[in-house]
Amino acid sequence: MIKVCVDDYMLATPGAVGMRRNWFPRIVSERFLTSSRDGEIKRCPDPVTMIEGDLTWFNNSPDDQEVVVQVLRAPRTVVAQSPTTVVIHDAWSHAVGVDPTADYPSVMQDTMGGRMQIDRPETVAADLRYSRFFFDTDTCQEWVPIGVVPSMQLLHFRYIAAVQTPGVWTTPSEFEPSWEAHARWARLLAFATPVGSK
Amino acid sequence: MTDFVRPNVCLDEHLNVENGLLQLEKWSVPRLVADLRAESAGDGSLASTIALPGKLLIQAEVGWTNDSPVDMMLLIRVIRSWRGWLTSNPNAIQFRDRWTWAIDREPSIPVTTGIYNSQCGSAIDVGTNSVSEPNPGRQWVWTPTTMSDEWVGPLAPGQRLNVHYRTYVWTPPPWSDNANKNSPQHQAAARYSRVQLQAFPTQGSLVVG
Repeated sequence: MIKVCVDDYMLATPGAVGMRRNWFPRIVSERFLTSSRDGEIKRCPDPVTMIEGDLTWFNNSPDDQEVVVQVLRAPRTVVAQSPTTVVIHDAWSHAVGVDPTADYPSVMQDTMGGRMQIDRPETVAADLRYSRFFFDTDTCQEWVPIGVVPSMQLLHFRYIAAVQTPGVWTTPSEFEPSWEAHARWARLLAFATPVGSK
Repeated sequence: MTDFVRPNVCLDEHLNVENGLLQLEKWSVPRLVADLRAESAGDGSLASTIALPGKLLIQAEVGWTNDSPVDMMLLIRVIRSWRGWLTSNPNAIQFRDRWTWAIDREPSIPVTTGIYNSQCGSAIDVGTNSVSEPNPGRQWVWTPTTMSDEWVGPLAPGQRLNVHYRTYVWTPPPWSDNANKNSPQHQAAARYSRVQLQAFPTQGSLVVG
């Protein structure tokens, strides 16, 4: 029985020679986040958080790993009243290191939502004409490249989804208005692969 | 007779020797093992469809049997074409889709009445006139191609993963027959969905770590 010397991502044991676990592209960490604020909303000129959470993964393998975080988002829904706007943004950030903390995800990466306006953009509540906009968008996903997570280092990934009502806002006085936002959930998956030869 | 010893090294399930050369097995890298584009069979004008699940547009069935000696993780990838629709004040149009999967048996039919994976649609309500006719108003919407993944497994050697997929469209109630001031116009196109399976190998049983 000969034990051979092997390169990164391989393992020689008394039994056999083969590929290390860290050679296989695989999901190494997962978080499922749910919205805490779905339903009726009020005016929010600044984004109000609906989903917030993070994911961490420690590379305890002896080799570096290339990591991509998959952000899967639920179908999103907004209801807006003329002439106002309702949008749901989402954002993420990440850091890699021995003891990393990702920045607050403040740069909006993606947005869905809408506005409709019927007649003139009245600013007098009693002059508003009734109209309402309903919009659902499909679930969708984003692959966020993290780069290399070295052996014995940690990935910290943060995610937020937030609702915002930018721009003009008038609450009608002659009929019942309705505004809604549903972000539902987001799933974060860290996908690790070996680092190709440089 | 040779004057050297050919060393005999035991290999795990991901390596073999062929013609004296050490090589990786074909199953030791991620593989696309199923790829089906299913066209919509019902695109076009849409009548009142207020009962769930609605009108069946797309259905697809794909499957794959693990042909390797190691467990596989399977990635189910659903790619939805861009979708488009036209609706009239105040009626709503909504697409829903769902997939189901099972190992070594047929999955349940992915009806979207209760549980479903995704939805997409819209409505505008611009009110009625003094004789309760909906005001004139139409809305055209296009949404981009989207993709959803689900990781399932492990799938043991010889096991088969079966996936069923469906897209429906319906018109969430209430429904007005005289929409858009007695000129109702409703169209919906889902075009196609594409269902892929990708097989990701896992470590064998001979080398662990």
